[in-house]
Parts: sequence; C-alpha cells; structure tokens
Amino acid sequence: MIAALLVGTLATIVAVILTYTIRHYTFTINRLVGHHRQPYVDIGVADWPEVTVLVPAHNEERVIGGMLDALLDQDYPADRLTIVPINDRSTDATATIVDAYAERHPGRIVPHHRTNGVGGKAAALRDAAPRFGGLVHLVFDADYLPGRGLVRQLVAPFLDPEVGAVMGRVVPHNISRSLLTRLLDLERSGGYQVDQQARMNLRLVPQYGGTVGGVRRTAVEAVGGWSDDTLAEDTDMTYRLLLAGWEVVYQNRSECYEEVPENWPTRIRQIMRWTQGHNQALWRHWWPLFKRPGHLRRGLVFDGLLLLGVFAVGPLLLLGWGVAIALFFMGVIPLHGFLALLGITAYGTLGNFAAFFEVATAARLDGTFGRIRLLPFLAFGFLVSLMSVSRATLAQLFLPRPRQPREWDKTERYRGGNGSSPADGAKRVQR
Amino acid sequence: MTETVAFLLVLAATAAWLLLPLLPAVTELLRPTDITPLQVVGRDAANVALFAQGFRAYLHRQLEFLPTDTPVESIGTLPDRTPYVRGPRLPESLLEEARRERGLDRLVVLTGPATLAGGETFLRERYASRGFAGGPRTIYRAVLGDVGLTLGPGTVVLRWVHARGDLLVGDDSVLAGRASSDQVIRLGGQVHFDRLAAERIVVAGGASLPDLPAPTPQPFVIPAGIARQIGDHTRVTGDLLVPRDSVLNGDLVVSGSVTIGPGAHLVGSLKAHGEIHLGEGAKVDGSVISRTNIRSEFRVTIGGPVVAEEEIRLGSGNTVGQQHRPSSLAAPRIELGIGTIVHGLITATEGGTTAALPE
Repeated sequence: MIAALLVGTLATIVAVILTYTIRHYTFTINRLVGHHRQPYVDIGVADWPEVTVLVPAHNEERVIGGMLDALLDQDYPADRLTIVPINDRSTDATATIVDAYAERHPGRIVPHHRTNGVGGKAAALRDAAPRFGGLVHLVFDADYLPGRGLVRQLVAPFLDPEVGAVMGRVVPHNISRSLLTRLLDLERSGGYQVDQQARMNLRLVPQYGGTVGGVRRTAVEAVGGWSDDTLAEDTDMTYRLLLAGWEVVYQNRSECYEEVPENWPTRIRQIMRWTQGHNQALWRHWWPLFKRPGHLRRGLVFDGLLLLGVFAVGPLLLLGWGVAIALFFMGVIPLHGFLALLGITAYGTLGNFAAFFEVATAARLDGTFGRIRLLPFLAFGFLVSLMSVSRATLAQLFLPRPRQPREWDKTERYRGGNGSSPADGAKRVQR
Repeated sequence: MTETVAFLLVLAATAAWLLLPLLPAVTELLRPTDITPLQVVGRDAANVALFAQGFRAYLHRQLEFLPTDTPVESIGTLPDRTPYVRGPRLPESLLEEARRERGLDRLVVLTGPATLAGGETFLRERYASRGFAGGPRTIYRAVLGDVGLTLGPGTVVLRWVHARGDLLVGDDSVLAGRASSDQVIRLGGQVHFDRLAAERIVVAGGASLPDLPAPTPQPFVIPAGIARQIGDHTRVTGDLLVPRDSVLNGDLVVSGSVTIGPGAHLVGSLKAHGEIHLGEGAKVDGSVISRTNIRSEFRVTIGGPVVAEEEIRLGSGNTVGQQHRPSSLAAPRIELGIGTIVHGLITATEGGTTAALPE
C-alpha cells in the first residue's frame, strides 16, 4: 500500500517535471527558430499620453539620485511625464535627496512621502498610485538605470487598448563583481531573452515583473488597485489583469540596467522573498485560472498555471528525490526494461539540462559567447535556489504567519559603496 | 608500483577526466574574457536619421582634420584614409568612373547644386550641401542632403538617405534601409522601402483623387450579447461589423475580425485579433492594431499608430496621423495607396511598396 502510494507520488512528480522540461525546450526552440514577435517596438512616433513614473524607495540614498537623473534625461515629452519617487519611511538621506531634486525640477518630480501604514513596495504603490493620473503608470526600482528612450518604448504598447501591463528586459550591470553576479547575469539572460520572449512569441503569459515596466492606470483601478498583502505584487497583478481580460506584453528591446546581489546571503533572501510572493499568487489565482474564463485560450491557461507553479517545482523535486531513495531501499523498482532505461538515459542527457540549454541559447542570441563558459557553475546556483525555494515554501506552509505589518525586505545596494559607481552606470546609459 | 599508488593514480585520472569539462569554466572564472554588461542602451530604432547624423558628425571631424592648405576642390584621402572628392561638381573623369560597372569608390562631398545624368554607381556615401538631383537608375550607398534631394526613377539606395529639405523619390526606386527627411518625403509609384520618417510622407497621385460626400452620422450600439466592458474598452467576442455611416464611441477590442463600414467613425482606438477592414471614408481617431492584417479602402483617416503583425494595405487617399500629432505605421509588409499621406514614421520590416501610379 505504502509502496503503491510512493510510486504514484513519484509518477506524478516525474510527470510534472517532464512537463516543465518540455516547456523549457519549447521556449528554447521557439527562440532559436521561431518568429520573434515584437509588434509595438516600431511605434517610434505617436501622440504620447501622460505618464507617471513611480519609484518606490526605502533607504535608497546610494542610488535614488542616479535613477532620478536618468528619468529626467528621458526623451519623452517633459510636459507629459511626472516622476514620483515614493519615499517610504526612509531613515537615511533618501527624503532629503528626493526633495532637493523636486526643488530643482518643480512639477516634473513630485515626491510622495510615506510616514505610516503598511510597509513594503506593494503597500507603497497601493498608497501612492491612486493619487496620480496619466494613462500609464510605469514602475522602476530605485537602483535601475533606464536609457534615454526607455519610457517611450515602454509606453508604446499601451496605445493598444487591450494592453494592461508591459514588461521590459532587466540587464545586470554589476556583473564583474563576483561569480554570483556573473551567474545571475546568465540566469537573467535565460529568463528574459528566452523565457519571457518565447511566452510573448507564443501568445502565452509574459509576466509583469514589477520594475522596468508599467500598467495601464484604469486597468489597475478596474481590478481593485495594487494589493498590499502580497510579497509579489507584480505576479499578483499579472494574473489579476489576465483574468479580467487584459493583455500583458513583454518587450525584449526595452532594456534597463539593474544591480544584482553580489553575495549569497542577499541572493538567498531575494529568492525566498520571491518564492513566498509567487506561492501566494499560486494560492490565490490557480483556481480562477483553472476554471478558464471564456476569453482565455487553453494553451494560455496551461502556461499560466505552469508559471504560477514554477516556485513549487523545487520542493516537489526534493520530494521526488526522497521518494525515489525510499523506494530504492524498499526494494521497489517502478520501471523495468529497455524502454525505461532509454527514457531515464534520455532524461539524464536532455531533461536535466533543459534550463542550461535555455541559458546557452540566450547567450547565443545576445552574442555574448565568453560568459557561456561559466554554464557548469550554474549547477551551484541551481542547488542554492533549490534549497532556498524549498526552505521558503516549507516555512510558508508550516510556520505561523507574522501578524505585524509587512516591512521592506530590501535587496542590498552596492553602487556608490564597494560596487560600481553611479557615474559608471550613467556612462553606460549614455553609451 | 604499489596497489595504493595505482589506485591513487586511477582516482586522480578519473577526477581529472571528470573535471575536464569544467576547465573552460574555471579559466573564464579566473581570467574573465566577457564581463562587461550587455550593451543595451542606444539601439534606439525610433531615430531613422541616426545613421545620417552619425555620418554628418564623421564627415565634419574628417574635414576638420584635413591639412589647412587643402583647396575646396580637392581629390585625395581623408585622415582615416577614406578616398574622397570635394567640389561644386564631380569632375568628368570621376563621372565616367561612376558610370562604369564597378562604380566610383570615393566619398563624394558636393558643395554646389548638381544634377546627374543617371546610371552612376556610388560605392561610398555622398553628401550634398546644396540642392541635388540624381538621374535615373543611379545606385547610391548612402546620401545626405543639407537642402532638398531628388532621386530619379529606378534609383537604388543601399543603406540610408536623409534630406534636411524635401526628399523626392522617383518611380520604381528602392530605398533599402532608412530614408528620412526633416520635411516631406514624396514617393513615386512602385517605390520599395523599409523605413521612412518625415513630417509628411506622401505617395504621389493624390491631386487627381476625388473627395467623398460627408457621411450622415448614425449612433451605433454594439449588441449586448457579444460585448462587455473591460476597464475603458469594450471587448467584442467574435467578428464585428460596424455599419455604414455609424458613430461608435470608446476603445474597441474584437476577438475576431472587424469591418468598419464606409463612412463610419470610431471615436477611440481599435484592436482586433483577426483582420481589420476599414471601409471607404471610414475614420478612426485613435490607434488601429491587428494581430494579422489591416486593409483600408479609399479616403480612410486614422489618427493614431497603425500596427499589424502581418500586413497593412492602405487604399488611395488615406491619411495617418496629423501634422502636429505624428504617428507610426508598422508591419512586416506594407502597401501604400496613391495619394496616401503618413505623418511620422513607417516601418516595414520585410519590405513596403507604394502602389503603381495610373498611366
């Protein structure tokens, strides 16, 4: 009875993992040979709508100035662009810096200072967004360095009345700092150049990632505004918009530099935060999505469910390993024969490396051939992610939830300190 | 050799064999060859005149560093060793060279107004500080004009052309790459193009087109069974026909194909997952976006960007954008009818063409 239960569990896990493997290969092959879909990238001239750029910031004195400079330098019509740094209870010089910019650029920079209420980026957006107009609300993290044309590029898709959210591509700029930053650079390439763009090509579910992107203000209002009770307001918004009938668009050419974590503890905290936020979205949206509203295609729903479950794969894989080991010691061998051997060998050859193939494809598409040599080291990154995701999921499932208001769980900043300087970043932006 | 040593040797050899695939990784880690961030900024496609601006800056730099005693009329090499010729007109010997099969391999800087007989090939960029008129069947690598430029019938431009004044393009020409003007681009019949940008892009033949009688507007309400309001747009399930002369307010998203009847007016933007067909005299104030094709009949007016993921075919006398509200027209394949006017930018990634002019 126990053996049969374990075999059933293992079979289910294998089926799920195989599904994700096929998904990886589908995306990769699509990017290698498929049609590159970017319908809005050639809208270079238009009667541009009014836009508000929201920059949530909590203790961002190291980077906020660079961000505001980059936004002030945009080639978007200045009279239609309002920049709103949201200073959420910073205890450093963020408020002073932001106010100084506002004084120098009255009307263009309109700071919003928060002194109470629920903390965190989602809460900051929920509080500030309804106070500002414009057709589009773009959102950037404070450490980003948008190039001159980025706002225009991100706004262009909103001229399509069906588009509710747009996501651009995030590119690490501090990659030379450590092995971790170089691995994250590879991961980001795979995630955006292949994963996101393939989903765009195949008309599936590109994910709005909460930064280097934006939302249609009226769409957000129509779905009830930003949620402040989630750690992944971006994933949450993606699915709420999707379920309500809006389209989410990914634009690979709308690229923006970011700082990635330079040390493993920061990276692990980041993964755990993403995991818990994503799992919240899984819990909230899988059933409404599974019921398939009439406007959503089956393929889109299927991909949407797989995207929702992506952070659940880690613990599932660990469970699978545990079950397989248990079955081995129980003397149960679920698969026999030549075909089984062939299948396992094939998976060992191809399936295990699906994500690696994806990253290699991204490097090829980007034309960055040297860094691809680091690919074997991604196995370490994968193991760290697996353990962090599993730990976060287990904590979410079994530990009591904190009752106190959510606070900022910030990623450490390096620019201006021991990392690349804002001037370096600005130079890259100008190039 | 003892058994222990043999075992250790085998172990070491196995470990080395297993670690061999990691060698490139370790090398790249210890001696990085590729650690600059991906160069992402500056690939801005919206500025069609970018190459022309770059060439202008290049030429200015090069001419500045010519020896001070270089006469205005000169033949030689620029400081970067590019062969050039400068003067109010091309010497006859070089024109002869340009008419030969190989063409003229010299950057040309014209300081006076010039007219070419036709049939020449210019393998390097050509700059004209005064008015310039090319003859028929001329091949240029790239042309920059500080005033107006006229390209004769059958001209081929291989990379880019930019005029600060009007750019007139003769019938049957090919504008590969980018063509732009700070004022007007006037295209003849059966001109092939990739990217065009100007305050006004006009396809010839419009003067002979008749006007349409003003429609009698009729309000139109989409049947409730097929439509629902999503935020600020109406979503229609299936196909939709907007009847002749009707007026419809608000943004519209159609999951099938849509036909806007003759004389009908959509006060908003239009998106369709299927084809969009705009009838004679139809008007859309906002953008028109299709996941497949857009086809318009005679005298259609569109205020915003027009984007199709497969093909756009605009009929005669269409107008896209306005003088102070420029717009974009983008699709893999584009066909522009005679007398069509586009204010702004046209991008045809697989190629565009203008219709043949009537005899």
